[in-house]
Amino acid sequence: DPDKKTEVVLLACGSFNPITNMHLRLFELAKDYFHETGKYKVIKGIISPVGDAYKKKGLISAHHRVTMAKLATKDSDWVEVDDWESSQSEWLETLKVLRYHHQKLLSPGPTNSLQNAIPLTKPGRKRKQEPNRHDPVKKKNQSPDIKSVPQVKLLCGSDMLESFGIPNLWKSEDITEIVENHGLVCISRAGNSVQKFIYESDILWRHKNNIHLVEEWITNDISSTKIRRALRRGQSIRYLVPDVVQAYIEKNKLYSPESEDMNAGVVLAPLQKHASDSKN
Amino acid sequence: VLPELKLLCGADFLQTFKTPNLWKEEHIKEIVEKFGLVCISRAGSDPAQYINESDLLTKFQHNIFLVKEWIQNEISATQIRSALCRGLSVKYLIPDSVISYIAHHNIYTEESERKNEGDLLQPL
Repeated sequence: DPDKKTEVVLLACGSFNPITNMHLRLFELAKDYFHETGKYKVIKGIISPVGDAYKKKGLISAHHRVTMAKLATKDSDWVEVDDWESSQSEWLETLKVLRYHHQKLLSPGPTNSLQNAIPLTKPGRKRKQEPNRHDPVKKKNQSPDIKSVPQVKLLCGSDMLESFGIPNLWKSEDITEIVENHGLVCISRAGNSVQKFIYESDILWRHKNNIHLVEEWITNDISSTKIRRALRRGQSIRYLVPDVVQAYIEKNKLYSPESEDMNAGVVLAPLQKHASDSKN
Repeated sequence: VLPELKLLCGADFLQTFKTPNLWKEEHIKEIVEKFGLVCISRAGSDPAQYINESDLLTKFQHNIFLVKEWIQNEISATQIRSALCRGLSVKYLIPDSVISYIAHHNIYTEESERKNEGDLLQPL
């Protein structure tokens, strides 16, 4: 019964430095996974590149990273790029980005992203969803019914999940709120160590039913780091990133030994923030 | 001077030289002697070892170029067909134009996977 399915929005945060076919595959794998459960319907995918204030080594300007992500998703009818996070002057915790997008879905109005997500009807193509189907303003009760308000889930690979263990990178109360109020969708290779990591963490174990593990059988080792390395060495990245992204990188001469040195020696924003928070 | 024509393949292709009756010995010899092989393999697998185990290939190893694929991409056509039969997405694994073509002509189905089932491969 399509009316009983929980609507899900997938949010991927990260550097996207640059965006690769692997990032794009995460969305496809997650969507198939949720649809196969028969209980969920994925209505939108959001790519939210991190802001320059993150200060990661080799991080080129948000403008280019956002543009490349937009080029990569221009022919997708459900995955889009959001630049709210990248346009903030300070680095933002991932939880804040999740809360922002969740809030955006709750409030109706012209800027409601749910409305904007509906594709224009093309001849011969059915509308994927009727507008105003779940209008929270009309609901009498204040607390949103879990089935009528779309859930925003954090989409990631096993490296992000396991980064929860890096000291001072994440606040434990943030991790708790992410898995308790929103949920995680983690794509990883078969036989990986993610299940063990979840087992060893009390917080993650407690909310394990809100952590969806998706196995990637057609494995894909395309990391942005490797892409940048190949570019510095004049090697081809064709078929690893969308053609439009490769063309953009070439045209703008992005990624060089110099760009890789950006932020060298600078402390990553979350580490900086948590170190100073604990001092206060 | 004419360009040299070389056979481009993956490591599993190279291994098939071992399969009885699949290749004629004199063909393998002519391929590696007169033409040359360019074999792409994953970091971690060792085609050099396999070449070492074959006298014929060792003799012409100067004409066998081994290339390591550091950014691994294990997209096999078998997996693609399997995904298609299960209605799973193959977007970003193969070009969009190929996906459209496959969908338009309904090429890969459970039925197409059964084609030649039970038949012996022609070389054998």
